[in-house]
Amino acid sequence: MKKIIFPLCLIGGLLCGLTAMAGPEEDRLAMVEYYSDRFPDVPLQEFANGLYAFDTIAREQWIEMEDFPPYEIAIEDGQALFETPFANGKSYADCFENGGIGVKQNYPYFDTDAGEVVTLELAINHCREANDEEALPYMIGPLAEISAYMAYTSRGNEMAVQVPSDNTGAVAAYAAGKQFYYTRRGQLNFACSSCHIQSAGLKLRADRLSTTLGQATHWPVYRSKWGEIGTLQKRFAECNSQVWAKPLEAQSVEYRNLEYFLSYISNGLELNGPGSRR
Amino acid sequence: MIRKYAFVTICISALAGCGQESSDSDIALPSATFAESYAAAEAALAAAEANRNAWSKTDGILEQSKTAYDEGRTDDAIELANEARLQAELALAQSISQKKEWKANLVLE
Ligand code: HEC
Repeated sequence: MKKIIFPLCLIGGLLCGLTAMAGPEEDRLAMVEYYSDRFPDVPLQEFANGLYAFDTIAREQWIEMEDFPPYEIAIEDGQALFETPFANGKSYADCFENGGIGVKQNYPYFDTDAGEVVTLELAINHCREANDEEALPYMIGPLAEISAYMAYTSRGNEMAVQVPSDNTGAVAAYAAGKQFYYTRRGQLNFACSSCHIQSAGLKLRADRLSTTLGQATHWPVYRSKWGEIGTLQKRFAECNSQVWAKPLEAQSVEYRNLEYFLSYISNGLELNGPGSRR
Repeated sequence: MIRKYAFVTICISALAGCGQESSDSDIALPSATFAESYAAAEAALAAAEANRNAWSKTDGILEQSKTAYDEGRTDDAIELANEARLQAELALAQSISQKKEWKANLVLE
């Protein structure tokens, strides 16, 4: 790829500074290649199952857990919440394309007018606020349940996050998310990439480290450790804490950009949320 | 290798930071009062927070410093405040250096 970009840069002149960095699709393909080399026995779609793609023992326990999925109640509760009209008579279905059914693969997206990344969770709260309802807390609880239901209706759809190359805001948000993923943070001085790219598959305490590829397909997740269902950004906060970095606020600009990057990398994989993890 | 390099960079930047500020609030000054040490730590932490990169233990150490002071253990309190300040300065230096150095972690490009 670099070989192609270089002559273009010479021609492109000024633009060169902007385009020298690999774009989203190049990033995604590089990830696919890297992990396919690293885990030659793992079919591509399997990466959507996180560490269970390659940890056979943990996988057995997980398959057992999935016999009575611990997130089932969250889906039911989420559906009930989703279908309950607001005080003004409108409902969530009015805010989303296709009535909110089977749309999670398109999130996050870049809202050009607002100049920001919109995650599914942010969109749910925007919907509430537009209908004079109070915003819900982001990491756990009713909002995570609504998100779980919406994820469930999107199962099997391929992740299809868009970063339009002619939309400078979108490109910049993606680039910021990417930078976050590779930035060392915390007293232990680790980047997300230190663990999930460089050390993917290796054991850290109880778990093998999952791959960046597939990290965004299965949210929200019921984690045994949490004892409840939580959103992807709850996991961001936890991974920050693990390296002794103070987590940022859920749905902060940084976390939304990060989610934009991470979700794009999973493009083409089938959604399989909500998920269960230890 | 990369990690070692990054760590050294952080240390160097942090030391440089200390050097610059030594005129008004030096960690080693024996005459620094608790109030001075604590205020310096708070200011350093605010700077790290403003750069969106504080470390997770720093708040707790500042709290311990306050508790030590309330219990009359002033020397301990100053030492803890200085530790919190050092952490905050290292966090700030880390975020500043990483604004360039993050590219060193791009293993796939
Ligand atoms: C010190 C190593 C470490 C770092 C650094 C780290 N993580 Fe993690 N992460 C883990 C471990 C351990 C787990 C649990 C095992 C697994 O699923 O990978 C995990 C899990 C995850 C998961 C859930 C995977 C799944 O299948 O459900 C996501 C998403 C994630 N991390 C994202 C991130 C992001 C984003 C960052 C940077 C902000 C990050 N991690 C930094 C260790 C790390």
